[in-house]
Amino acid sequence: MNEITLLKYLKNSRGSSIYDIIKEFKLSRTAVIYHLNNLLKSNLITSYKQSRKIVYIANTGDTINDYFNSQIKSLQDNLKEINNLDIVKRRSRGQKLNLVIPNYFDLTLNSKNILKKYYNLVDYSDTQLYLTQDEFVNRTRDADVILNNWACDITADVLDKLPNLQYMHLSTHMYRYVDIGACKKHSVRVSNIPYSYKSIAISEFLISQTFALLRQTIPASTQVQSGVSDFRFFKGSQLRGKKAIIFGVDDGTKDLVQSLKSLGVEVSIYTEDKNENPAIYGLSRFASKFEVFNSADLFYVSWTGDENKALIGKLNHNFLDQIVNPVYIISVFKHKEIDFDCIRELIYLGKIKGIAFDYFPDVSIGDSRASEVSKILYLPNVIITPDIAWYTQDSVINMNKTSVDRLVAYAKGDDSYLLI
Amino acid sequence: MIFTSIDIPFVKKTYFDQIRNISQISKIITYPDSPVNNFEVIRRIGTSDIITQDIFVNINKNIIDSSPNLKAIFCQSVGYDNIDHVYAKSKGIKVYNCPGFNANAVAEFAFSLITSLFRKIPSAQSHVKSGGWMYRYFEGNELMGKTVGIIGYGHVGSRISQISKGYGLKVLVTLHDSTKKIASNYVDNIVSLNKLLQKSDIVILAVPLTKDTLHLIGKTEIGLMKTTSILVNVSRHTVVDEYALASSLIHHKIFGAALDLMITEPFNVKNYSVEIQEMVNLPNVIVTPHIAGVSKESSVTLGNMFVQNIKNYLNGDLTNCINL
Repeated sequence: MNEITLLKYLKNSRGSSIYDIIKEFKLSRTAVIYHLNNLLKSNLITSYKQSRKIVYIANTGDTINDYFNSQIKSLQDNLKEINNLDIVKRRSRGQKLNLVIPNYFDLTLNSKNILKKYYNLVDYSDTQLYLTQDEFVNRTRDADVILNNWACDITADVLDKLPNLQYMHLSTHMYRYVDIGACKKHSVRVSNIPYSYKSIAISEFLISQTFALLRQTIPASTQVQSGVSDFRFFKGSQLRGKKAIIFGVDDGTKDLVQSLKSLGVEVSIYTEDKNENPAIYGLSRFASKFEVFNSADLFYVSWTGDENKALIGKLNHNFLDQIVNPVYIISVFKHKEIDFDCIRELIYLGKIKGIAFDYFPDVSIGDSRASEVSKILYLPNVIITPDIAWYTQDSVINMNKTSVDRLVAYAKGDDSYLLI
Repeated sequence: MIFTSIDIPFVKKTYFDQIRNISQISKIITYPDSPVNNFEVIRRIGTSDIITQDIFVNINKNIIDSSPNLKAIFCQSVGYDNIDHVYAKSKGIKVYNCPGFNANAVAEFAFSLITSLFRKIPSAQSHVKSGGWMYRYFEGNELMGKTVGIIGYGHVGSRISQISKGYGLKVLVTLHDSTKKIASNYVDNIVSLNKLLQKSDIVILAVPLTKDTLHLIGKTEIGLMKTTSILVNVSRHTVVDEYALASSLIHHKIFGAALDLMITEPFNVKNYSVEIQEMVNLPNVIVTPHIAGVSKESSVTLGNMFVQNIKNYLNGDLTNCINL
């Protein structure tokens, strides 16, 4: 779907909610919000509140007419350019495109051989994971296609230096490190992989973090290693019978609800989107704000990427100050807002019984905040892991298979899975 | 009757207050510390009619013979292997335990150990604390689709099988009595011990300590396990030959192990051989200080069951009496 189509739909429908758009175009919520925000910024649409929902409507007048005319012209120009592109001529002559894997990626020999049938492969997959943008450009300068394992942020400046690039496949589900608007302007197609490659890994990891917090497994084993053995320090708590709240919904919510219910946990979801249907998650209703902060034992914090939400995905003062009943907080996402100082204070006060995050802010050595932020690592019931929630043998196999399948599909001319 | 707790009580004081209110109990004696030797145990029992003690205090033949008034022993635990219950029975002394009070706590803790091992959480946490941030060192394993072998199917084993099904695990069980049938939706197959060891990705021990289960898992049995498998022991430590296990882990015969108890308790790793010390510090081994059954919820269940056992005994009810 492109934005002209969405604009046309909003014009014809005389106003639609996010839920209506998702239903019409069968897109993810994140993608819909992204396109709506672009249209809002360009003053092509307006939003207003209608009873309990937000409705988007196309503007009228010269602005929108000018926009349609400019888009039509742009499409006509692009078509001329495509016909002239040497790379398309190369493909039509049966020549292979150049595929570059610029950073560490766990590809099997078999997978590489499959890719070599369709591409000239330039392979840096046994090198480092993270690159600077300059290193990235140096390695991918002649690439027609890139298999990007989150090497670095892909900005307009980077794309300017890659004149041949026509397609970038991202080996991740999340793609906020890529400037999608810049990719569109540079006519670079982009694909990612669906969440399902890691859904089991994530839901199992969330439960394992929960067990580790509730039963203090790590400090108990550390105690034994140090030569002491006293069970009285470690009176844990059982998971069965606890009340868990999941903040926000995302692709993995259904799996998590099922896993927790099978362990005898009472599960509820807090969402700020009134169009969500609790029945999808096997629930009869969603939780109220009072309920979540006054009676829950466990918080699982999702990331929806929606900056318009008040509480979802944000572990800031606004969220944390509302905690009444002491809770454990578990999350595997890289939230944009986490107030570690506030969390530390609440741990001291007993309002937060423990946290398990798979993320930690990138605070450089020499930054005066580093020592303050790092203090939380040494509190007794704090587990911080280095982005391993998704990382299992099975998810790596799934990720690689999907990546290879999409690259092969592109080489064969199939573009049904592309994001843009 | 005189009721004496000859060791530091495991149950909370509030439960002793409930016992105090029982009309047949004329006196309760408690001690703030553990007895240092058998003489002290005998002295503390004195003329008591009923006693309770910790699992680390052995009530052997000598102590029983030296306690002429003793009529009943109440365990604050599931296990009673510290009591010569056979000899106690011959002397008309009833022994009561608290079966199943901590089954859920133990089962959940077994999965805490399994998931911590499979996802390498302790070593990942340690890596972050030392300043690292490299996910590549911690490739984990998922549970879904794997096979769990449960040795023993009592309260703990059955709860483990229920949790296993929630994870999508295939469940194999081996029983001491091979003719016994289990009617359960949570068990896929009942197999022999050897077959269970050969087929399982996760082997969990959930058996009481008896003469049949002593060193049930030794070098030969570990040799049958897959090199990618893990062993989890939430039974008594002597069910596993820990020296054989240490050697197997050091030589990578199996992937990892998690033990909630060690050779003797309280356990001080520094008192043991180099191999045991090396095993305890391996990144693929977790040893915890006998905390599987310790939770706030199980403490409440234990306290209630303990008081009820005393009331039952005084009323002639033999529920939870293990040496009928």
